[in-house]
Amino acid sequence: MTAHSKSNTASRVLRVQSLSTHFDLGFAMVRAVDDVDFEVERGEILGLVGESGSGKTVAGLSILGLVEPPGEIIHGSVFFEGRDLTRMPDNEIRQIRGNRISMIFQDPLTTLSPTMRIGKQMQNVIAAHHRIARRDARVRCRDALGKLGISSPEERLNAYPHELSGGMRQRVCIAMAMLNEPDLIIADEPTTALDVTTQAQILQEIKLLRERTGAAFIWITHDLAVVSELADRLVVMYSGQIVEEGTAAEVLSAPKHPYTHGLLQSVPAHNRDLVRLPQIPGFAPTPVDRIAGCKFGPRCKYAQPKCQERPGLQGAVSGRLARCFFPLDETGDPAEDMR
Amino acid sequence: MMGTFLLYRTLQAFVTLAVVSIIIFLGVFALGNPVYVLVDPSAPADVVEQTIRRLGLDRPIYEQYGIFVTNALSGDLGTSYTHAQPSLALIASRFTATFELVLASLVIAVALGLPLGLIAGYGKNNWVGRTLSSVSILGISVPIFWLGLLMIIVFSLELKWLPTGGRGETVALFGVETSLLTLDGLSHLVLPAMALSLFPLALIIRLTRAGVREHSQMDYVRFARAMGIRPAKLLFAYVLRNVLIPIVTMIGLIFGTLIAFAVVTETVFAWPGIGKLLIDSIKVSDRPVIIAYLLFVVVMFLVINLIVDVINAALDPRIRLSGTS
Ligand SMILES: Nc1ncnc2c1ncn2[C@@H]1O[C@H](COP(=O)(O)OP(=O)(O)O)[C@@H](O)[C@H]1O
Ligand SMILES: [Mg+2]
Repeated sequence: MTAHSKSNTASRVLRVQSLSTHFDLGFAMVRAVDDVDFEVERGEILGLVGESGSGKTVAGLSILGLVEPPGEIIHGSVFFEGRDLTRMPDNEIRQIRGNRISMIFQDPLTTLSPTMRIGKQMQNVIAAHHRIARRDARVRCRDALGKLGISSPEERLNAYPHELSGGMRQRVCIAMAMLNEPDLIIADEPTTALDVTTQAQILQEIKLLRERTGAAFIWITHDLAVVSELADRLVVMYSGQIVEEGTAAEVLSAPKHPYTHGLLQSVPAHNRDLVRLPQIPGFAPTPVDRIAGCKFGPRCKYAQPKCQERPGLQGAVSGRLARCFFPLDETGDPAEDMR
Repeated sequence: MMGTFLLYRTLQAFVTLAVVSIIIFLGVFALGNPVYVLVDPSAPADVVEQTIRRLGLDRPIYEQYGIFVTNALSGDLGTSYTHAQPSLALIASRFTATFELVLASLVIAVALGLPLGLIAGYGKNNWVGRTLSSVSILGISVPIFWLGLLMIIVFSLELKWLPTGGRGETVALFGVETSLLTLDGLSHLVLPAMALSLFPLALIIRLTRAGVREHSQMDYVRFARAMGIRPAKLLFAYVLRNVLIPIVTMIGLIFGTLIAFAVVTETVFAWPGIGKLLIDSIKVSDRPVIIAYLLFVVVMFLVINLIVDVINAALDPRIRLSGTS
């Protein structure tokens, strides 16, 4: 439970509570998401960061009940407007998806159906949730494309996905996700597959959209440079668990967890003089590995005997948490008591 | 674009036909001199001589080919040695029966196979899917003559529901005799069409199931689900449309194969189709019929391929009907 939370229910869109999603592969159990808690405030952009394989996508899919077998939510709840999405019947959660909560994905080249016109796919998203005349739906689709800075939107509606560039297609996906004016959009690395220029443009457009619509975002990425521009708050995941949480400014300027610290060290923006970027040594444990103590322990340069035990998420200040017995201080050094 | 496409394909078809006709001509030539099939070998030499000259068999092969092509261009593919009828007319009349049979069995296969394949592929690891896919292996491996005989025994001899064979009553439609429009004709068609449909049915079920399963994992399906698209809409408007493309191609291929397969079915059900005609003609070296048949089949394949390309282009906007593909 996020007891630290300063938010009341009215300003909160989503609360994820003790969520665990596992993949039973028969020979092994993959704990892709392992007891995760976080909240999303109305209109905020929450950055969900971590190396590839840390469970970000599965966490996003779990919120909307989109995890497919052998994956299964084995524990926990996702509260949206006082209701638990994980216990909702199929047809009811379908009415939430794309309507109140949307999700967009990483690869814009494969995210749209190749044999259906853009306009048709967009209209279907409206028709899935509202009874509305086709002509009005079309106008809404056109406006949605226009809002994302797509030129001649009327023509785009008649285009097939393969006729548009990757950046254009991702804009179409974002426009689709926003068509029904959802309260929350889960964006799973939507700019990772795009070139930097397009990426910067889209980030800019997202900021504008957020201001205009008040929609909240969970922005999933492994790229700290992206969230540093965009996010209000950050949740850092490592091997299926949250290891650090705080406002973007706090986490980026004074990380408490050695893992976050390591991630920041390897971001090019912090290091402009073409020096080889320090990488975190070793590899993230595969989620099937059973590590007795701190999961980051084997890669942590500050690891102590105490780290053979499991650390919980802890913090003195509300909303500022780290899963570490010896959190780093503002200077990036281990806390006094461990030296 | 469609116009240039059709023009290109027509030209291509003529080139193919020219090449194939030479190959066929050489091949049939190698079958041996048909004259002794037509004339009693003990007949007087001048009778044999006369027949050879009448059929033009004394000319060199290139001359024979030249005469053949000249006649062919005016629609004359020769006269059957044994039926004393223009071979093209003979084939056309027999082909209708086969075409009807194959068409009926494909309609059965598609009408049953697509829905069953969709059900089998939809949802993860459902028992319907597993059952259907193992049963469909039977459909692919059961010999058709055995199945045909079994069906005759059960439905015709024991239950007496349907006739044992033959084509039944036909009526003329646009100058073509068809059994699709009479009750008697249809009742004769049911058993052979069902027997012949088993193989394509099994294939379509398996292909549809595999396609649906494959596509259900794809990003565009996940995204559509994340947008709240209803499951039925997702299956029919999104998945099915994409799955259909390879299936259409396969149905086109199967169509031609079934025409050839039909020989067995036609024999079992005494269906007066083209398969029997071909076998008889080969037995007696009835050259004009064999050549006309083979050319007919080539044209049929060219037409089928054209239709498949056009349908696929309609289904898949990424396929362009260009002359070069
Ligand atoms: N369909 C699946 N089957 C088995 N394991 C999976 C599946 N999907 C994800 N996982 C595992 O779950 C873990 C988290 O994956 P993911 O959420 O995709 O990571 P991220 O998005 O952070 O890169 C990974 O170890 C991955 O191997
Ligand atoms: Mg991911």
